[in-house]
Amino acid sequence: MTELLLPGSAGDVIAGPRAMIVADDAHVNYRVFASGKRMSTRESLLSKNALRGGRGLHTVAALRGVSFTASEGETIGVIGHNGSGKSTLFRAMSGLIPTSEGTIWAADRPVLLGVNAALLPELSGENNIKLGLLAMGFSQEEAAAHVDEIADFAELNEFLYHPMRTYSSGMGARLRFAIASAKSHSILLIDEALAVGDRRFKLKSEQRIRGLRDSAGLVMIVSHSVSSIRDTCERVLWIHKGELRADGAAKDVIADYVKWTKQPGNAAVGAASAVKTARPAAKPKANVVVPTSVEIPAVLEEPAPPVASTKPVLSPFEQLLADAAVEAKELVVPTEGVRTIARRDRYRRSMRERNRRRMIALAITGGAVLLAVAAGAAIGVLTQVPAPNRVSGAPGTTVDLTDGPPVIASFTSSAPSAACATDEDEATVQLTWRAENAALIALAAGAAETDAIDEPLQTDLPVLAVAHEVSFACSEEQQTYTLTAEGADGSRVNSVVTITRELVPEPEETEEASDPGGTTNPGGTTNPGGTTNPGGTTNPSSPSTPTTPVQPTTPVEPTTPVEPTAPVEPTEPADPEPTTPAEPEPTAAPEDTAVADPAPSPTTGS
Amino acid sequence: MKAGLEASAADLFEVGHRPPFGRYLAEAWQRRTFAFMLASYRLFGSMARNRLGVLWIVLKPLFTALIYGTIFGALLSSSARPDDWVPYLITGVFIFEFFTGCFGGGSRAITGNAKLVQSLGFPRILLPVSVVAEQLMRLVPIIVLLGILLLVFGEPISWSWLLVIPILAMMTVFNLGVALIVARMSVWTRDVQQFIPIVNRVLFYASSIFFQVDVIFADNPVVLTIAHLVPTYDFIALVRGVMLTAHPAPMLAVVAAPIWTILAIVIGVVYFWRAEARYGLSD
Repeated sequence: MTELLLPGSAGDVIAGPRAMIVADDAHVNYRVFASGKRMSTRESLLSKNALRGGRGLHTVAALRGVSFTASEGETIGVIGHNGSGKSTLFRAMSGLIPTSEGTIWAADRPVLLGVNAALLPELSGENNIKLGLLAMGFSQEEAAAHVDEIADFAELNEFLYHPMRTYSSGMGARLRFAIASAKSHSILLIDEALAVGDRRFKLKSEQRIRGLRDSAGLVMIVSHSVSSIRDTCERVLWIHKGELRADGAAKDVIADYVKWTKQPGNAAVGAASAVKTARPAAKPKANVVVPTSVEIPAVLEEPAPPVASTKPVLSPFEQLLADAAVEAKELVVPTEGVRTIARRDRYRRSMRERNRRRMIALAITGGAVLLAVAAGAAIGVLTQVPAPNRVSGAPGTTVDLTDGPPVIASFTSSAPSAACATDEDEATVQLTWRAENAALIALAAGAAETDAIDEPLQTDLPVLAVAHEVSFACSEEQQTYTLTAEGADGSRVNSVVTITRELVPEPEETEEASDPGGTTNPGGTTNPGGTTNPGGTTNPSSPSTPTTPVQPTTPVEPTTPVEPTAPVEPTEPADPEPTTPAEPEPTAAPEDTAVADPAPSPTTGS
Repeated sequence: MKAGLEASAADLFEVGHRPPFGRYLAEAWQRRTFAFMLASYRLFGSMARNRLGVLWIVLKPLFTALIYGTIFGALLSSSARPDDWVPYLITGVFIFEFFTGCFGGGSRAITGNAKLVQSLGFPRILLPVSVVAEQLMRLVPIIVLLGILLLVFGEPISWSWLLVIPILAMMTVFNLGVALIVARMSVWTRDVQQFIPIVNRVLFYASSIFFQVDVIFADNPVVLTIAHLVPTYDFIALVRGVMLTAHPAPMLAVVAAPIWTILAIVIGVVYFWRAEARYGLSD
């Protein structure tokens, strides 16, 4: 860490005079939606993050000010632990992701060779090769020419024509490497590519990289294999937590790095304290945690006595890892007390986060239920209130009932008198009425007002009737028709019409009597007597009912619901009509009746 | 130190910044085969897993038309329905599907290929271009099917049918512009992708697909003018105008369609190019 060399000052390792890549204080920030850091309850509930299920926009500083200069002819290795920002640096250098601060300059477009280069899993290996080459700037002919070569190199054989999703991870990685390395580039960035595939392919790819390096002006390699870096590179950059920790001759930096990786294993306390002082504060939170609970994890992690006094404290799995590392002539000890603390801390945080989310979900559910209940109640109230108005608004229906008292809005006769030819004859009168809130309506005929429900002439009548024909016995001088309406609550209302007999010898007169023209006479005799109507007390509007303006409106009403259907149909027969006017009158006449056919339904009312 | 850097950077170019507009377009043009190969591979790749394969390209819009025809024709018949109901509807549905495909596909052009964007360096505009190219390839058999269906339903064949080609070319350019805009927007905020079905629904009802807008809004000239300015309606009306005898395109659509096209493509390309360096950042 003391060897942090600023760009240009490492004169002994810079071979060529021409700079190929210059990184000047490069920062890269990722934006990630993630369940965030701990927050106070109020803060978390009120923040807009709560709306997104606790996910917040977090900025992760992956690179925090990296500066170096790489010149022509160099081979530079980049080392660092996982997540230190090596791959991010490479992506930034190749222009795949932009720097948030600082700039990276390059002499040519740097090409990134990565095992992570994901292609299209649905397509066959062959198609992927073609697409990859085209994306890298090959012409179609060049791409077609290279397909076989690449397929041979990747050793795909017959799998070349299978979709890439069916490939094993090794096959996929081989293919990606083969595609990416198909072209020689002046600046080549190789990301972990040496670790691709089995041993045979590894040797092959190393050879290929060496070939590429000879043709390229600059090669930079990221690898965890320190030995291969030592073999291939003369200069090494050590990236640690997004910062350039060391830059210098390969053997010096690697020695430092190896020493550092061994360090934390020796003693947990020492490592933690060393880390604390050595590390530039990457995550302030983590650093706060470290000193307070350093010794606990050492105990928790391995309650059993140390396996060997010379070796660091290791769990069985880590022991395996360590053995493997020793085998590889590199002692890598991943054990670190700080990590355990961080893990536990993270677990607690996730538990807290889960609890918080559960609370929010509960609150939202409760709120939604309350809202639904309130909405239901509101709908109920709204349907209750306008219901009485709806009864009057819906003529001809007996269905809508409320608990209000029944009202007979009007009860009239079409003529004040009934025309009779002889005494024995029987005439008809047409009665028109409109009642409200009535469950049962009955009509009675007699000398005086009676209760029509008790002695009905006709019962179960509709609430609204227009020109309802009732027989009139001509033997009587006059007859009183009583209309009784019974409401749902049992109360009854009467209304009467008195009709006098008119003896006319000619039968024609009967027609005249039933003529609607007679209705123009709102004769006092047909008055449904506000005097006799007991409903007048319950309904203040009933005194106004005898005034016949109500009467003309009521006959109109039944026609209007019927009418809409009628005009639609006449339009269709209207089409043939213009075509047939040439036809003689007699034939046109039946057609006329055909047109009028749907019409009788409204005419029955008048 | 800083001065030394500046000096040495004299013959270098800045990485991770968008190239100049002209060079960008030139590079995209140079690699256009990538977009078209990607489109065709994707089209056939998506069909390869189905037993009926490529047939689905034709079957899907056919079923859509069948469903709409049943619902709007048999169940919800209205007076605003033209006499040549079936040709009118299928023309509208098929052309509208072309727009929906580009619109939805465009929103996923970058976000759905995040790994590809992060691992290979190429002009990102090629991804929305490949989406539109794929939709255009889907459209070709559909248009052939449309022609056959129109003949079946008694529409006379005429030379004016050939005008469909320039109209659809114009619509393709318009769709590309829209795809570019939504592609960038959905990288910036994913919520756009949730919003797209809603926009589609609104446009579907606003584009006079299963009714005649001229009949419905006949007594309301202001609303009728607005309805005539809906871009999807304009293209549908133009196609109907050349393929169906009974439905000439309104003058407003003839004027509005090219204007929409130019607006969409210019705004789309510039808007997309301005964020070129940042597409790799989507998580």
